[in-house]
Amino acid sequence: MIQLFHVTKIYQDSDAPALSDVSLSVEKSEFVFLTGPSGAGKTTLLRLLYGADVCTRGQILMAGRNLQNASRDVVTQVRRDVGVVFQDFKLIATRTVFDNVGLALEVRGLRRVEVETRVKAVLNEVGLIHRAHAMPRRLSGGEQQRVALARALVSNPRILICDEPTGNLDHALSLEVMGILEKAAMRGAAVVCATHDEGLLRQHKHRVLALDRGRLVSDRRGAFDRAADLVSG
Amino acid sequence: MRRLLERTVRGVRHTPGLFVTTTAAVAVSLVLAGAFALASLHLREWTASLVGTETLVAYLRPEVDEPKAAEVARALSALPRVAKVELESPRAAAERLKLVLGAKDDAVLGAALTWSAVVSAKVPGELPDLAAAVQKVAGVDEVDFGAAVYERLQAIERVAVGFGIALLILVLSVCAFVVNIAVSLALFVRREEIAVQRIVGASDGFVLLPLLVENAISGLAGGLLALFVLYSLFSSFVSRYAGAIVALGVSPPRFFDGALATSLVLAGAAIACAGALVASLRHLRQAE
Ligand SMILES: Nc1ncnc2c1ncn2[C@@H]1O[C@H](COP(=O)(O)OP(=O)(O)OP(=O)(O)O)[C@@H](O)[C@H]1O
Ligand SMILES: [Mg+2]
Repeated sequence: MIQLFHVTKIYQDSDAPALSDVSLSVEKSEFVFLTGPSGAGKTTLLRLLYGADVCTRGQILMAGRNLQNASRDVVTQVRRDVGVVFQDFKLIATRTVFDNVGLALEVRGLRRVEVETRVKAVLNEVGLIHRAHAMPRRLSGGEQQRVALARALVSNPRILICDEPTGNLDHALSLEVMGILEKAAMRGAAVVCATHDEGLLRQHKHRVLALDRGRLVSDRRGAFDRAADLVSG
Repeated sequence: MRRLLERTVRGVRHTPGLFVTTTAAVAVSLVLAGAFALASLHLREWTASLVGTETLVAYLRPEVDEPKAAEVARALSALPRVAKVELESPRAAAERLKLVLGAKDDAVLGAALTWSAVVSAKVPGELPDLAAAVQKVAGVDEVDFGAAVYERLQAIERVAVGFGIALLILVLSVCAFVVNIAVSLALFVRREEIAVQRIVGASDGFVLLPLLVENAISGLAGGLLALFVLYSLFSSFVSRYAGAIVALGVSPPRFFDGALATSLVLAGAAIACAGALVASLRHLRQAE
């Protein structure tokens, strides 16, 4: 579902690569943690996956589509296969929670009734149906994060990309969100979830990719006793 | 379609300045353009009738006698552009010339003159065409419609119209430019929203179509506004100068007919769309 071949990313104004020679692949229905210390390149890697940026060298295939030198149309198609939960949420401040979530369906041209039922269902799932008509700035950080999650989930994407989706949540809500993400993986989505949270890595036994200064330093499956080492590099 | 309109309305609420700017720019430029068009519609008619070039004289062939002249007059009256035909006998012509020239030998004059017909055009300003038609009628020898005066008038008119059209193009391009800037600004103000739309998979059409629709609507609104302003100006002009118009004896001023009014409003939408399209294309180029 996701394939990277020798991907290197060097930002224009820096000489050290943010990612260097990263190769990996994630299958359908697989749940993968992406970890590493701050500045390791997690967000950079995720941004490449949904076409927000292009890699300097290498190739990226998303659901069979090559993102290297892709046309705008192809990038748009890829984005419709991908649901993204951003580290900074990226909610539209002038739109209600309902409209923010509905946007992901609107851009796909779905009919109004369908948008309504699906948005309501997903808001129920993340426990925010009672805030459907609130504006994002009236919500707490954790609530905004769950709106972002709802927007990523509502289109039933084949690939789910989350940047610190539990960063603003207490333990109970983190568990709930992880449950929702795992359910998405069980329904067939490939899920990539960037996190610093050692507890999360220890509790949820999934494959873990660790980045350090742009390099993929470990790719392991199962439980981690040394999760702290991976997170801090 | 309904979704597109909803998103358009949302856009207007988000940046009402764009809607107002576009509407105002279109209205101002169309008022200028419309006033020019109205003026030029009447200029030609009024100068022609003021200079008295709405009639021409057809000299009939020497062999045409009184009954035949009447026949020719009937044929001339039947021409589509003709309002009135008046016959003049050689004798009457001689009398008139005698008054004008002070000539003595009316026998000579009477022998040299033929029957003639004074033909009035229905619409002033069509004399060259009418002259050509009159020339073809059997029995007509020569047609005189004051070609020299007429040509001078037309030359003046050509300069005026050329100048007017240049002015028009300038006004309309300034308007399209203003709209283009307004749309670019709106895209800038909405940039965060647009960025989010794109990242969740919005196509170019999804982002830009509402803007084009919005501008088409504000162009239409500007056109209607311009029409309203023009009509008010026109009415106050007519009521203020009603006396002068009657005194000059020119035909009463007319406002645009339905077709012209419609094209004015559509022109508004077209300019606004053109401005928005240019801005949208630039936006797409930058997004590459
Ligand atoms: N737009 C940019 N321009 C230049 N350098 C950048 C840019 N974005 C990130 N970087 C650099 O790339 C490196 C990786 O950053 P990235 O945001 O991917 O880290 P991260 O692993 O997501 O960190 P965190 O855990 O703090 O979110 C950092 O050194 C950062 O300074
Ligand atoms: Mg990050």
